[in-house]
Amino acid sequence: MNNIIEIDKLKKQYDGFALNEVSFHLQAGYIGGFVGPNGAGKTTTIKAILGIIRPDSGQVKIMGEEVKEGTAKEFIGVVMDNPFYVEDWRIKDVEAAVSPFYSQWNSTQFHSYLKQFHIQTNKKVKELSRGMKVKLQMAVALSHGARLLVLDEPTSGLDPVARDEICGMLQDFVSDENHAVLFSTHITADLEKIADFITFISDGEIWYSGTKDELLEKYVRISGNPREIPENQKARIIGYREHSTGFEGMIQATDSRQFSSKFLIEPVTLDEIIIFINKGRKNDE
Amino acid sequence: MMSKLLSFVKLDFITIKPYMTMKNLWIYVLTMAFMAFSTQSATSVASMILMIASLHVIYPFALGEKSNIDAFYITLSIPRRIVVYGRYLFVLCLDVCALLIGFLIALILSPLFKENLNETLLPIFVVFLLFTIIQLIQLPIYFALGYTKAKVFVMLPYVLLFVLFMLSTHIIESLPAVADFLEEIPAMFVQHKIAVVLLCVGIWSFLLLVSTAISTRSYQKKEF
Repeated sequence: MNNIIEIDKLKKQYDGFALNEVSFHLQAGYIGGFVGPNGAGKTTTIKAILGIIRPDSGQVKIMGEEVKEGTAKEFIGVVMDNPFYVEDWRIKDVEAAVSPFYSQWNSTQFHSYLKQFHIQTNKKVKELSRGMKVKLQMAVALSHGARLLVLDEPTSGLDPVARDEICGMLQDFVSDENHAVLFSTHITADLEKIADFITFISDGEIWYSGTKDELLEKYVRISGNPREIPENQKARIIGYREHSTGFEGMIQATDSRQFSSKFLIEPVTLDEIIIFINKGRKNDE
Repeated sequence: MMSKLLSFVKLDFITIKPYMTMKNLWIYVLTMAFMAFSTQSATSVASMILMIASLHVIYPFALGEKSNIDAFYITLSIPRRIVVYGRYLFVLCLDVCALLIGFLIALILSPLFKENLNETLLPIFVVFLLFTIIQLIQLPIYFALGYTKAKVFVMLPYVLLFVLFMLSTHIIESLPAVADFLEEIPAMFVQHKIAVVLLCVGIWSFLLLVSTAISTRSYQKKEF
């Protein structure tokens, strides 16, 4: 197995929040979606992967090498929700700033991406739209020979056309089997389209890490009349909630035969999985 | 390591580049022209340049905090000690450039103001030392607290300097013996030039070592 990312029992404690023994891996040649509600620990985990924060315990390995301060990250391309670039930099300043730190910097490739994305070099970073800022970071990430792209909420706030373009670029990137993408988002529609693997985090704990198809097959959505559901079965429904037209929730697909045929059982979407799991955790509290 | 250090200094210059505009240049030139006209002193104008350079030192911290540039350094695999040493080198480069421009201005203005060039250069150099020493106190505060939190504390060296100035003025007025001793200092400088220079270099180097050590230590602990 050719793991590009290996995270083992990662712990990080903050006031009011903790990453608790986060473990997952991502193989080369695949797109891994990293999902979870806001404040679940996605950005903290990504920061640990990039070496921006120091874990209290546990290990993060990128291409077999433990991430420490000063670890060469030339092969990691980073695309953040908000770029780290100074807002008053012009695009040519961005290139001048980053290029000395990448031994494989390809200026021709960078300018060809800028042309492809219609980004003018004399524009300031602050003059770019959100989508353009993401594309600028993509252009940088794809111009220094990165093998792993780490993206933190790159498509939030983008229109469907821009999101589709970004997703297309990520699919092109992993067409090289030595490449991989870790893509954190709460827009699950993008992941349903392109992700091979899903890692689901909630309250700092990994709830699921495996293939997207397995996750979607693991659960089913259940709905019906709340008066017809026995209490012992109700307890097995994840994220149970009642509304004016009935109840809804999620159950393990293997349990579905034990529920009456009076209930409507149907496939669940990634979005619903996040919502039901989140609701389930709140119900438990 | 050396190439990363130099690349970092370049990165700092790129960071403050948006502030190096023609508009700002004109503001500086006009302020200096006003200073030259009102004080008729080349030293004052040259000191003004050192003060402008000193203002630019805070920009990488201020702009960096806005865009979380410290995390950016990590994604570029720049070790933290390189960030600290590079920032000190950047500050020194700015100060040396300002000193050279100051000397050049003194060279041009001294004959106009009928000043002795040799008597102008020494005060400019003393002002340079003073500004660099103030920066050596300020930099560890910026590295430890970040720009926003450090804003108030970095005024401490100026307050300290003001207190020292007021105190020394009071002492000179009330103790004539001290005033006599201070009057002899320029003569002592001339008599023991090498010793004085060595002493200054020694104190400055010691402060630099202590300052970088404190900055490195506090920056190593930070999380972004």
